[in-house]
Amino acid sequence: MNVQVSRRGLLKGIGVGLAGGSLGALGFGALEPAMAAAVRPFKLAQMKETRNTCPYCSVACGVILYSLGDNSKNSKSAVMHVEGDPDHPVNRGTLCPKGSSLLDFITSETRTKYPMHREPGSSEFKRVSWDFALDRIAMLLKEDRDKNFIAKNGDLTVNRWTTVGFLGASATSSETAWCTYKVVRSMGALTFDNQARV
Amino acid sequence: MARFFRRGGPPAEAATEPTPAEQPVRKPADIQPDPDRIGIAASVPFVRLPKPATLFADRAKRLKAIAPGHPLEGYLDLLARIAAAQAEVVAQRAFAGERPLPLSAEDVALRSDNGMPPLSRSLVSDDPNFLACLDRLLDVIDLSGLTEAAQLARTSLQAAAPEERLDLALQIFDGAFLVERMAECVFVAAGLQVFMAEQAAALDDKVLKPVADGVCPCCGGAPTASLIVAWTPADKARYLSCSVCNTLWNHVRIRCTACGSGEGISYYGLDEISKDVKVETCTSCNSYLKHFHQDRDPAFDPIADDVASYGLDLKIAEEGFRKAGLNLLFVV
Repeated sequence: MNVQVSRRGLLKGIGVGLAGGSLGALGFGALEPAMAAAVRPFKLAQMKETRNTCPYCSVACGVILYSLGDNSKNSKSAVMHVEGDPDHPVNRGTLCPKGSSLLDFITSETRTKYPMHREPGSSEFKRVSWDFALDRIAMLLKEDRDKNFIAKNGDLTVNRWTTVGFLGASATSSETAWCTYKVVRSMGALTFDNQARV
Repeated sequence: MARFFRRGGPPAEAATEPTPAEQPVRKPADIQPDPDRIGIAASVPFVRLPKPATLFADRAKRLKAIAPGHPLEGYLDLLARIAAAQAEVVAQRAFAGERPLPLSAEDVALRSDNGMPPLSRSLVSDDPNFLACLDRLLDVIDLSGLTEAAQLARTSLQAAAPEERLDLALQIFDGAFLVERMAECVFVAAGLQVFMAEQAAALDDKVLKPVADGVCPCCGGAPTASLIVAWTPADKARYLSCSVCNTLWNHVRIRCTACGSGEGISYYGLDEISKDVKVETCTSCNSYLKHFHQDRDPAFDPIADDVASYGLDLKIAEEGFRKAGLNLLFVV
């Protein structure tokens, strides 16, 4: 239900010369311009609060990310505080020490932001494109699977692939987790954890 | 079962533990979380009913504290006198044993089953107590040295016929204010707040259920402001404060209080003045509501600080947002 109260609009609309609603009616009409003048020099600061899930462990606590900025052209938003989500049934606003330090995780200089690649024999990582990274991963997976896939154990069909493991993340949604499971298991991979304990 | 968190007391005697055969069979549905062990409740209380005995006195104190030097000092002073009068009326009524007519349990259950709040406008019109309450308020309020308009409003209300005063109260209950009687509306609203707070305080908070987004579960009123509270079982949860009966009810954070949308919510504030007073804006319905961080400053009062932060209303109106809340003592 939408309770919209805008008496100012109403007063203007019907053309009654009563400025300021209760203020004007009780003889304090002169205070309103004073109030407006008092706040005129100040600028509104916009802040956003965004719900998310802590990525650390399988408890998957709810967190609120506090960020400054309004996504406009000349301002860059930045997360400046992380807190437990008091409405989240899992943690009710609490966080463990690792969760409480999520802000450092976000702003960390060593955080991996792009796919990085270290060639065999090379000593440093180079930034690569997502296409390159995904193609390379797919190719390596295929090579390994072709080499090590076990279709039969004697007469019994087993279709297992035990030389590759897969690690999902705890902050994924049920749907993402379902898709990950289907993809990994359909290839025959057995070593699979969708609730990262990192 | 192993006790991971013990809270003092004598150690559990091994001999008194029942053997597995003696233990009653517990069905999974009977097993409830036992949050006492870690000191945190599994869920936050849905409502906090008003305590009229302290509510208005605390409000008067807050108003007196913020008035000096404020651009709206004169009006805050008037509201402090109104709040002090409201507190006085509550005390007088308690002393005289005047109480609103009790609600019947069947009536409350019927309303609750049909998704209605238990308190309705018919309580105001059916109960002679309301007019008695308003009369007391007009008698005790100290308007000495205040504006002529305020004095005039009081005398014309005192002279008005009971039906007329009742009619004004019912309109205010519905959120409608007669433009030509705005000044009188403030005093009638003050009386209505005392009466409805007493009514709400007498309710059983366990029977109250959510009615709709941004609607008080006790009386169906609109919220005045949103508070982030710091009580032990609900630390940093958000509660809305009813403009009519002053009940506080839980509303999930980062969700519009007017339309229920969780998209496009932002918080605006004048950081140079206070980081703890903000407005929560919603781009889905273009409305806003005041948002006070009581967890950082427990002194915040929804009505007093809504008036004190009127500058923020003026600023946010320039951005094109409309107010979704209502302050009966400060209609703009």
